[in-house]
Amino acid sequence: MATNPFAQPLPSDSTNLVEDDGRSFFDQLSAQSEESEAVIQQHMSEALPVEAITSTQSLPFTTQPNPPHNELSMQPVSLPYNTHQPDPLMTQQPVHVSVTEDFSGTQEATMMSSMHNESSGDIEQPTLDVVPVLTTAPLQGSQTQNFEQDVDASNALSQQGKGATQFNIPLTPQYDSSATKDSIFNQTVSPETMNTLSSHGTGIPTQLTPVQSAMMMSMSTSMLVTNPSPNTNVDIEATTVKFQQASLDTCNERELQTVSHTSTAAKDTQLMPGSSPAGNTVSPTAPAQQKPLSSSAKPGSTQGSAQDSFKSKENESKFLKYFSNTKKTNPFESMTTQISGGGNDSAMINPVYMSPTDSFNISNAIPSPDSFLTPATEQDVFTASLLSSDADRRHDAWIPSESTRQALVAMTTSPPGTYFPEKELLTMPGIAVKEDFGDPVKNLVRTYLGEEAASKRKILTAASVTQDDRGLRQLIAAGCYHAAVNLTTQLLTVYGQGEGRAGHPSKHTAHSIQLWFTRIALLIKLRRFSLAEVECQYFGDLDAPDLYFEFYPELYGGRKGSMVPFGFRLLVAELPQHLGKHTQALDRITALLRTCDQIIKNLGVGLSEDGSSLEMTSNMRDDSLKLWRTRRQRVLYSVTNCAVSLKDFRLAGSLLERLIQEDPNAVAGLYSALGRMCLQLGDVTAAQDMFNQHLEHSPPPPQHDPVQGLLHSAYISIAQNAFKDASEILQQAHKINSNNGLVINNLAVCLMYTGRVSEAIKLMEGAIISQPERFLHEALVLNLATMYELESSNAHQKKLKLLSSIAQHKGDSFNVAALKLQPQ
Amino acid sequence: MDSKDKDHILSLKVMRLTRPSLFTGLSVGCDARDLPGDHLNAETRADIAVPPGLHNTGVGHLLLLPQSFGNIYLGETFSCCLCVHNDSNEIIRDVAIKAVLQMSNQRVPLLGDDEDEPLHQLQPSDTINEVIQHEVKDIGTHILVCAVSYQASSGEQQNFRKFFKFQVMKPLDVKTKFYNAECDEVYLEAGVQNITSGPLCLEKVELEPSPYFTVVSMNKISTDSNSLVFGGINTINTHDTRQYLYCLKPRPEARASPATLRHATAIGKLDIVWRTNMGDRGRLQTSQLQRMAPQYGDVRVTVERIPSVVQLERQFEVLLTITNICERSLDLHLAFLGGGGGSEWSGVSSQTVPTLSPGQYTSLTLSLLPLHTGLQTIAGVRLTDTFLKRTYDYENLAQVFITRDKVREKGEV
Repeated sequence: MATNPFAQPLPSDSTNLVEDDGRSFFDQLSAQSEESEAVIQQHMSEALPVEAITSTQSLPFTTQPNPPHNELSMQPVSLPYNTHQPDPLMTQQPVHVSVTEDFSGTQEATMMSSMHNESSGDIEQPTLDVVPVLTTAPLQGSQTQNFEQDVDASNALSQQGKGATQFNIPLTPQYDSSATKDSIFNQTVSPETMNTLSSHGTGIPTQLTPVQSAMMMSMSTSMLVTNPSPNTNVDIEATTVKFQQASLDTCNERELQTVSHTSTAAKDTQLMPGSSPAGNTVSPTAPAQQKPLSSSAKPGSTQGSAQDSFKSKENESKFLKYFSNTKKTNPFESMTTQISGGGNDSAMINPVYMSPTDSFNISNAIPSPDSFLTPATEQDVFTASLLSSDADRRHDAWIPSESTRQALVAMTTSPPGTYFPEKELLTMPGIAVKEDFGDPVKNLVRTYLGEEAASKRKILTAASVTQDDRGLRQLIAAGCYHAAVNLTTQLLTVYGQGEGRAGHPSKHTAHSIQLWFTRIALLIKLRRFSLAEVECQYFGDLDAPDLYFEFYPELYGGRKGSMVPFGFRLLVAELPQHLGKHTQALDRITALLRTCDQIIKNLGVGLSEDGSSLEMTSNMRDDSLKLWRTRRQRVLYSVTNCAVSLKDFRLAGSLLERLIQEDPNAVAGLYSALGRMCLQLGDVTAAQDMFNQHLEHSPPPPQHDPVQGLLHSAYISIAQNAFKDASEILQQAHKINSNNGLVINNLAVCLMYTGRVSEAIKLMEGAIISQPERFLHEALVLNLATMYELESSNAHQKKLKLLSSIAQHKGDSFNVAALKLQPQ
Repeated sequence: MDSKDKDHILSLKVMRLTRPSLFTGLSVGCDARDLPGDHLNAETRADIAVPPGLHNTGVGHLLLLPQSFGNIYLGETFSCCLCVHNDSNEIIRDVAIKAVLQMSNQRVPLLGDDEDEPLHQLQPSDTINEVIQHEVKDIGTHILVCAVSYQASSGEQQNFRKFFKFQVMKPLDVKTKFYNAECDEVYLEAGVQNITSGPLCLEKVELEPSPYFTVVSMNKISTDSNSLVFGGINTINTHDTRQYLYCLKPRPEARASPATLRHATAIGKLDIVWRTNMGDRGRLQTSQLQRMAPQYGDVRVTVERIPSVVQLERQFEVLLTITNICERSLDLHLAFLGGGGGSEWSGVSSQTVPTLSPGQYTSLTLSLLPLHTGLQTIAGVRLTDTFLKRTYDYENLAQVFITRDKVREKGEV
């Protein structure tokens, strides 16, 4: 949502007014609006310059007679100010300014509030916490008569003095002078404001003044009956309502967009059967397009049948069609070259799943942690089942739902090719966007800096890498997530799951599922949550039979378990949280947690992960237990994340405490997180306790990093509103480690709050210039852009400088919204 | 921005300084055996917004400047940063900034109110920053009026003003209930409801008693511990209410004159301090809380002694005190109306109480036979004023737990 922290100034003609009166600008407080809506109604306005009143449309609530309490409030309260600066106009006249531009004011907000002014006559008197039995607690001094009546009334109701009566208590701010002398408050006052505050403090009456009484009256309900409510009251409530509506509207709009997105996707799928290209009548058992995967995986195969090689040739030409824009190579050739060449990243990722099974040798039989796909042909079901190593079983294990389990049992027990599950049981995913993603950074550069500057930007695109997993990884490593998503689009199209294919049966392989996982992960990283949701919905709860290895005996032989990586499950479970559907996210994450618990329980009682009986060595069992405990921990972190984002701090707190018990390696970090969470919810004492705990659980001085402790003290100072102290503490940390982005950012923010904007900007700019790759971070850029906006009138130029730096150093996944560039 | 601003070579920007928030990065993890390999994880590790060595907990550590005006509530501190920037290529002299907060019925000068304040001089593209703070003590519409005056290069005195409007809302709703106990104690139950838009932490909710009473807060697990009864994490979600309980005991000097005490309706004030995001603090105090004066009539009956647990069908005794609290002598007649609840009175059903002169009291020991198990109310005592023929029925004298099990001796209140 586009929000602006800056006060949008009132578009005022008021400067003109000031000119004819040099004495004080404040003598005539007035407000104008461009469209001459009702502006000010001032009562007893003889003393006021007539031109200040430009009201053309008097609003019902502003023309009401002055509520009595205003008169009441006038005498004592005006005293301090009167002696201070004689200003009869301002102190004695309640001025109701109805149209000025709101602080939060985007253009729409302003329009909203003006609309509201026209209609506010119709707005009902807001219900102010009225309970029928309630009586009002008396106001100091002036209102005793009313109070006695109230008491009489309630006495009549009460029995023997035992009746419990409810009072509605008006609140007043703390007025005793100690409030301003409060140590915390005093500490925080920056030197610039000290004068104003202290002079202000002396003016504060120690007793509750009638102004406050008046205010309390305006808040107490039963008084509203006897006294007409102050005009402002109506105004406040109505405006509040208005804003709520405004935010609702934007919500709805978002919702609508999502819905329309979904519906277009749905429409697409309905349209597709007619327009689908020929040759896509895919039967689940022998899909034309899936075949090449298993067959083309065996170039150089000595056992490959003639028929197979023929088929693979045929499909190669099909592939060429897809990849015509790249160098004309079979995508799988590059894959094999990678295997033989041992590409850069093959140290980490050894795509065993692509290696031909017939070149099976003993080294391949050693369980590889990366072999998430072990293809097999009908001929070597036996070897494949051998290959289905312990690591595979451990990682792929999942407990299917009852209906899925039955389908899988039917699949494995019936002769090959005779069992066809219901269509509802199948996942039929498809890509939901028609167009490839562009590079948003480049687009911005083109818009603001011109074509020439844009042409200078050199980053990887989907076309400039090999059209396979390696290329994909290359794009991810370079931070070009948009391009990587585009590449997944191409690769998934090969699987018959491209754009518009949603709702059509297609065959999954472990590789296609990995592609989907990568794609969704990247979409989430790019904050394209609605798109991710649309594309994820076809996968349901990731439990359909066709997501299990057992579903494809011809492809995976005896391999068991789910093809869905655990990370994918977490991603899909967390996704609704990013769209504001926290409850749905919590439900899904809890379901994951339940399954993890069940698996751990199964392993504990001597069964295999999914509850079947299996001979397992104690080593196997321990490895598996370790893996699943780690996974359960991951899920717990996920729930915590969701709870924090929901601001359910009770839940988050109890989870963090549980994690402190369960994740001994992260105890110090968890205490730090718990401390910061306490600050977020406002409990400074508890936060301090947690930070102390962090210190206790950190390693002793030689290995101890003093910066973390300083960061913590700075957070506490911020909570005490002592930004000056916080910035001094962070200066210290900056001296210790001048290369810490976190310290630099937090220090700059604290400098802002002490009014040292230029220093803050200098600090941030210095860091970004020295290490652009590291410090061109979304959050840092957002802070810097905000500082620019406040500091100078040429913020736009300075932001463009930042933009060109981003264009030079960052991939296409940089969140350019952080620059907050005004649309041109 | 708008054309009016362009006429001036100085520009004024105002930003509300709500507390910074903590930026939370998005982290996506995967196994090393998955397709993206370690690249996604490596990116998360390199991300300075994600605390190192820890999966994403959702609690960030990178401070982020406020990106919207937010809400402001009564009792909080309004703070904002004013920036005056010289857009021109000339040196500007005699720059003065004034800021005044205008409410419906008063105005508070926040900046530049002193006449003898030195005037600034601004170099080209230089900036004056001022941070102002104000504790909000008024509900409703507030308008921040900022005025800048300066001497243009022509020597002409120039000035302009800007107005910023915001609404101050009520953060808390307090409802109270009083219970006047027979022993002159008063129990106050205060429900504090959070009516802000986010969770808040009630740092302090204290009752400052009126001169007649001393107060014992009953909101801690034990008197010497610091932990509240409300659970480990001290937070109240939006629209949630938290009940605080206080026991007020009359001071000895107040107890000395029951008449004064009876008319002591002022109980005290609740002093509430809360904090929200990153320790943003607010403080409010209620007006004097008033209870209803307890109504005793002419006679007052208190239970002096009663066992808390009794065994079924085993007779037990209740010690009652009858006090004359009116200005004349009382001749009273005591009758049983049936024991109410689960027990029956045992003894002479109708007897005359000795004459009581004003302020005098008498004690009576009465027997009861428990007939039903459970927590039962002792009721069914009727006193009749033989002179005025006025009757007083006592339907809720005390409660006793009746059990089938054998009761250990001395289970008394």
